[in-house]
Amino acid sequence: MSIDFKPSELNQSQRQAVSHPAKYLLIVAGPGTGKTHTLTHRIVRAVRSSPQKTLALAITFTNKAAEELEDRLAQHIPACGNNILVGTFHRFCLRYLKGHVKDTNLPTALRIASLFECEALAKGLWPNLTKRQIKEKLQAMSAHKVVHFAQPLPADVAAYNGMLRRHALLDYDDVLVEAWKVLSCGVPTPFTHVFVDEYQDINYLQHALLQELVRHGAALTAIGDPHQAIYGFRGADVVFFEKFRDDFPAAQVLALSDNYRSAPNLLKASGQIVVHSPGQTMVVPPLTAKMYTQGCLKVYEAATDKGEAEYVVHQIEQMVGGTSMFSQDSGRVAAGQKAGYSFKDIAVLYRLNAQKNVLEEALARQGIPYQSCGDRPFVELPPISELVTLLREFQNQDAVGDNLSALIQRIFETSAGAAILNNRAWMDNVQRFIRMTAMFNGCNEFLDYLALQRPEDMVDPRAEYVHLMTLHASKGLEFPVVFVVGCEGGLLPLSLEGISADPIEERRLFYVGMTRAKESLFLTYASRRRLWGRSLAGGPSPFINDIERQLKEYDQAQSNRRRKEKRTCDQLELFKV
Amino acid sequence: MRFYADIHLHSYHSRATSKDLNLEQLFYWAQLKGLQVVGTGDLIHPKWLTELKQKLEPTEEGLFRLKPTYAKEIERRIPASCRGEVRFMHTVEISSIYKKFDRVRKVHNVVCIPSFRAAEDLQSKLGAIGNIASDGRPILGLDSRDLLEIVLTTDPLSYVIPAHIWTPWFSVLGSASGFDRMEDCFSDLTKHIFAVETGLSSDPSMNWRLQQLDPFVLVSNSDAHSPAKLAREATVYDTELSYPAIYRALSDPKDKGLVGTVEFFPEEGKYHYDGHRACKTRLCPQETKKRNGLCPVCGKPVTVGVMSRVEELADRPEGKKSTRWRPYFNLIPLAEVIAQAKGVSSPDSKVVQETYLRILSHIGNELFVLQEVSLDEIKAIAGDMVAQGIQRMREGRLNVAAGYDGEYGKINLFAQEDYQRKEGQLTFFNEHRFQAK
Repeated sequence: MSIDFKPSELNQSQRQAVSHPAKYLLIVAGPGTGKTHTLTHRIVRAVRSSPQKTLALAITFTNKAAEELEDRLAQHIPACGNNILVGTFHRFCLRYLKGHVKDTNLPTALRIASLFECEALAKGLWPNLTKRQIKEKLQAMSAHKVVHFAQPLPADVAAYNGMLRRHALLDYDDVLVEAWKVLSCGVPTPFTHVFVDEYQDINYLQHALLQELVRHGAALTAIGDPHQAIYGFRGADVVFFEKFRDDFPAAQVLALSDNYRSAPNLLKASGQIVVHSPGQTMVVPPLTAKMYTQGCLKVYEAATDKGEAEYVVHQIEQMVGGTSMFSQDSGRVAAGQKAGYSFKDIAVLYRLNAQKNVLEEALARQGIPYQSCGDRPFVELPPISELVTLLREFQNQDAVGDNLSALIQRIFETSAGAAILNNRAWMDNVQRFIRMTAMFNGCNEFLDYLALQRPEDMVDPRAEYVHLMTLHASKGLEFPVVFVVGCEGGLLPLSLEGISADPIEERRLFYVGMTRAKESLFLTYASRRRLWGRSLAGGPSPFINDIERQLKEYDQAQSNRRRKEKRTCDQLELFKV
Repeated sequence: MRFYADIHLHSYHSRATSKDLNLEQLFYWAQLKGLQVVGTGDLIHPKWLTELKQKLEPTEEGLFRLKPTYAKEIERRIPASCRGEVRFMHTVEISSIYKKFDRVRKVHNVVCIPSFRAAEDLQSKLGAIGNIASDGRPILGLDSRDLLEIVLTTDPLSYVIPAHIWTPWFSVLGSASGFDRMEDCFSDLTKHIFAVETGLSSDPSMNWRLQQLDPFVLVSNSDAHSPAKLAREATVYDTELSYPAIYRALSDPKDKGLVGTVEFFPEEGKYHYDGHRACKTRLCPQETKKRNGLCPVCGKPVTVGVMSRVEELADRPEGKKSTRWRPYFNLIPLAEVIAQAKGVSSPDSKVVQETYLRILSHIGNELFVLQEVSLDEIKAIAGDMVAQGIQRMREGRLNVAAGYDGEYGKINLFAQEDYQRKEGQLTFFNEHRFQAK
C-alpha cells in the first residue's frame, strides 16, 4: 500500500484506531483504507508508550507483507527488533518451536519438508495412488490437520506423520500444530501485545494459536476485511472475524471507511458487488472515496480467449503509450497519447493458473516484459529443488559445515552444479537463488527461509514488469491499472466440472480483484475459451451484471477501426508549411 | 586508415524490419555504400547470436568478418569498383521502459561489445531480466543506469551509446518520455557515457547548443530497418581498424581518431518539427509556442519534435561549437537524388535502381559518389540532372518540408522550372506525378 502519511496525517478514524485503549480491538479495514499504515502506528504507539516492558508480535499473511511492515516500523523505531517480532504464523511458530524443542517429543534437528519430500513419503506409504491422488491425499490431510488438530489422529495421518518424524521433518501445517501443542500446555509466551493482519483469513488452527498467545494477558489487535475473505478453501473461516466479540471479552470493533486508493466510480462499482453479499452477518460500513478523479471501468467481450489476450496486450500498449517506434508510427497507438503508465503499474488477474498461458504468449509476442507470480513456491521450481538437495548433501558431508557461501561455491564447482549454472533456461531462478543466499550466513537458516516462501512472495524487484497473477495472489496489492480476465460463467464464480468453489467466497474474490485498481479497471470475458483441452462457453459472469449499467463502458473491438484509420492516414496529402 | 562505421542497425529478428536484413545482405550493402565497419545489431537475440557465431570469424581485435564460405557468393555480385573489406562489430539496441522520478521513461540505448564471450555474458544477464527472444531489440523494464551497469560488468571495453537522443518517444532527452539532463538518466554512472547518437532529426550543430553535451562526442548511424538504408548516417574515423581504436577515438578527448559524421538533413527526419500527423498539422517551434503547444485542428497537445526540444534545453547561442566538436557533412541518399533528378516519386523504382547501379559500377561506392567524385564524372555517367542534384546537395541548396510526428520530411532539390528547362523531362515528370496520386 502506498499511502504514506506523516504520523500527523492519520485521519480521524485511523487516529481513533491507533490510540484506542481497548485490550481486544478488531479494526474493520476495507481496501485502500490505510490498513498497514494504521497497524504500523498502533504497534509503534504500543512500543513507544512503554519501551521497557513491551514485546509485540505482529503476524502477517505473507512473508512479503512482513517485510513491508518491518520496513515501516523501522522508519519509526530504528532498533525495533528488540521490541517487535514480525512474521507469518509459520515463521513465528517455527522460531518458537526451535526455542522449545525440549518441551516436545520432536527430534532436535528439525527441518521443514519440501512438497517433493512430502509427496515422496506419501508415495512410499501409499504406492498404489497416482500422482494426482497423492496430491489430493496431501491436501485432504492438510485440511484435516488445520481443523482437527486437537483430536486423535486418524490412521493415515498418523502413519504419514510418523514417516515425517523419522526423517526429522515437519510439513507446513505441522509447524503450527506442534507450536500449538507446546503453547496449549500452558507454557507462557513473553508477548505483551499481539497484532494480526488479514484476520478474515485465519483458520481454526491459527485461531486456536491466537487464543493461546493471549491467554496469559497479552493484548490483541486484529485487522482485516470480511469482504475480502478468500481462503475458505484452505480452511480459513470468516466466522472468526464475525465472532471476535464473543471470543474476546469486552472487545471493541472499529471501522476505517475512507478509501484512498480507487477512483470514485470504481469504488462505487466494487461496492455493488458486496452490498448483497449473502450469508454475511457483520455490517461493514460502505467505503467513502477520497480520490476525486474519475477512473475508467471498461467491459470487453472477446470471441475467444486468444482474442481476450490480444485485447489486453493492445490496451497495455496504449497505456504505456507505445512500446516501439513501429507501434508509434503505424498508428497502433494513437498519436500524442500520454505516456502515463509503465509496465509495473499494470496487473492482469485471473481465476485459474490455466488461464495464464495464452496471456503469456500474447505478451511475449509483442515483447512486453511480464512476470507471472506462479502457482508453485520458489523451492519447487527447477532447478531450485535440485540446488536445495545438493546443498543438503554437501552440508552433511562437508567440512565447511553450515557456512552458506562456501557451500554454494562448492556446489557450483561440481559437474551437477555447473550444469545447473550453465542452463540458460534456469538463469533467472538461479540468480534469484544466489541473491537470496547473500542475506544469510548459515545454511540452515537459509533453508528454513526458503521453505517458508510462498508463491505470492516472489516478485523480482530489479526490473519493471506487467504483473500476472491469480486473483488470490493479488490480495493486499494495488495497481493503477488492473485487468480481470475470464469474467465469465464457469470461471467466476468457479463452477466447472470437477472443480468448483463456494459462490459466496467467489464473489468476495471478484471484489478483491476489482478493488486492486486505482485508476483503470478492465473486466474482460471470452465467448469461447479453451481450458484443459475443453471448450467452454460461459457467457458473462453474473458479477458483471451486479454493477449498474451507467458505471460500465462497453469497449468495442479495436482492430478493424485501427486498420481503417491507417488507410485514410496513408492517403492524406502531405501538409505543406 | 580512414573508414566509415555504421553500428546501429537491426537484423530480421527485430520488429518491423526487412526479411532480408541478414549478414549476407549487410555485407553486400556495406560495400555498395562504402562502409568498412557495420554493427551486427540485435546481438543478444538467441537465434541471431547463434548465426553470428556460425558465420563470423575474428579479424582485428574486437572485430569480425563474414567467413569466406558465406562471402564468396555475395562478392561476385558486387561491382569491382565498390569491393572492399567489411568488418562487423557487436552491437545491440535495448529499449528500456521504466519509471523514474515518477514518470514513464522510454530510452533506447546502443550497446557495444568487444567479444562473443562478453556477448554471451550480456545475453544471460539480460535474459534473466526479461524476454530477449521475441524482439531483436528487446524491451526491458530496466532503468538505463542499471543497463549501463550490467553492460560495464561484461568487459572493460563494453560501452553504451544513448541512441537517437532527441527522438520524442524513445530517447534520453526526448520530449515525451526522456529526461532534461543526461545525469538524470544515468545518475552516478554518467561518466561512463562518452558518445551520443544525434539521430536522423538532429545534426551536430543543434546538439552543440547544449553545454551539458560537451563531454560527449557525437556519432551517427543509420538505425537501418532494411539493408538499403545502411549508411544514410555514419561516423568517420581515421585510426587503426580495431575495436579498441574505435573505443579510444570516442572515449579519449585527446585522441584524434574520430573525424566526424555524415548526416541526414535533419529536416528530413521524422521528428524534426512539431505537429500531428493524423491532423496534417506541421508546426515549427515558434508556431508551437504561439499556440501553447496545442494542435489547431484537434486542440490536443502536439507531438513535440526535436527542434523544439533542443530550443527548450539549449543554453548556447546558435552558431557556437561545443568543445569536442567534429565536422559533419549533410547527405541525401543517392537513390533519392536520382529519383528527383528523374522526376520519379519512388527511389525504389526500376529506372532509379538501374541508374544507381550504373553509377556505382562505373565510379565507386555511394558515400564516395555523394561526397568526393567530380560532378563532371557523374554527369558523364548519369546525366546533367543527377550531377546538378548532387551539386545542390553538396552546397545545401534545397527546399525542405520538415518532418513531424513520425512523417519523414520531404526534400526538393529541384523546382518546377528546373524540369521545364530540361527538354523532354517535363512531360515525363508530369505523367509520373499524376500516376502517383
